[in-house]
This record gives sequence, C-alpha cells and structure tokens, in this order.
Amino acid sequence: MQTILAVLVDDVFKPTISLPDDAKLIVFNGTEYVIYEEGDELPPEPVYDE
Amino acid sequence: MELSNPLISEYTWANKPSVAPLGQIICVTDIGENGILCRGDGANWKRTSHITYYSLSGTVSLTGTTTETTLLTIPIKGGLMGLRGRLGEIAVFAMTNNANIKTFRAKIGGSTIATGTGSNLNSTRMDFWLLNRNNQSSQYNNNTTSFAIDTSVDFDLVITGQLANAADTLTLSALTLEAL
Repeated sequence: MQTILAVLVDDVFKPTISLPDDAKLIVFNGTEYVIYEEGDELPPEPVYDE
Repeated sequence: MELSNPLISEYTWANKPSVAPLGQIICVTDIGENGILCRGDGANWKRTSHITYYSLSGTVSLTGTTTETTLLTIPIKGGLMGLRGRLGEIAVFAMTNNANIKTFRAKIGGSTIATGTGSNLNSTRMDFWLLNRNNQSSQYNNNTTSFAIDTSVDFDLVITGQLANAADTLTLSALTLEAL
C-alpha cells in the first residue's frame, strides 16, 4: 500500500504523480490517494445502499 | 517454431516512420490492449480497426471532500484520432444511495466533454463520444456541443468526481475508452 499526495489545481484535487495503472483499488480520502496493489489487504467495501 | 512475422515491423506511436508508404503495414506496440496495426495511405499511418484504447483495471473511490477530485487520467496520443476519428467512452459509477448529489465529469484541458449526476441511485453510467469534424482541432460531442481541442498533440482525458456531502462515497467502478 502506498499513498500519493494531492494538490489543488484550479479548484480540482489532482495527484502529485501519476496514479498507477494496475492498482486493485485507489481511494481518495479527502487529503491523499491511497493505493492498494496486489497482495495488499483491501478495506471493507463501501456500503452504497443506506 | 518462430511465430513472429518478419514482414510487420514494430514501432511505438512516437517513433513510427514519418513516411507512410501506401499499403505498408506496421504494428504500433504501445497503443491498445496489445498493440495495433496501422496501414500507410501514402501520407499518414491509419489504424486498420477500432481499438480498445483503455480499460480500467481496478476501481477508484472518492470520499471525505466536497472538492472536485481527479479519479483517472488517460493520456491520449496526438494524432491517434485522425481527421474524422472518434473517442467513445463508457463509465460506470457506484455511489451512496441517498438524496445527495454526486457529480462526475470527463474533461480535456479546460473543456468539459461530459457531465453526469446521480442521487437516490446506487449506480449509474456516464457515456460520451467525441468526434473530429474532418479537422484534428474541431469536435462535436454526443450533445452536439462543439470543442476546439488540438488532438494532433498528446492530451489527457481526465475523469473527476465531486460529492455534495463529504460523508458519501463515489466509486468509478468500470471504464472503457475506444478509438473508432
């Protein structure tokens, strides 16, 4: 698991480096991108139906 | 047994020959799922078929902010669309199923090519196409909005998401981009 910082450009958050193309899951949590790759334990699935 | 075809040379999009002899076929290895074939028309290299340019492998989720946030950036090779080519995109978003608005956009530079919103749904789609109008710097999208994006040079297609309530989640679950 790695994290990538975000920067605000023209009122849009963008990653400071390119996001990996082969990640299993990427989560932007409001401050940074959390990258889950093969072998990483994934967080619980979001509950979409409230 | 040797399977490679010595008559079809391999190049990248950037280093393909500047001369495109009529009928000559080359393989461009860095585009599509496993390279593409292009055929010279005497002046330019033309794709021999529609291609799947990009397919999302994982998922990308957004939560914790109401600021518009980049979910995905797809670099697109300059000149790939050609004079009358088209990009076609299909995306699926999952989202917290409540009344709060979730917004998703497809952008190229300062141009918003497509926008969608969702509320009281647990998933929805954002589809669009962008068509060059016999000019690499003049386009229509599927809403007949016109654009002046220079597709003869490399550019990025950017998918963003935005929440009205930071406690919600918006997830880009699937996306495919085709060049037609």
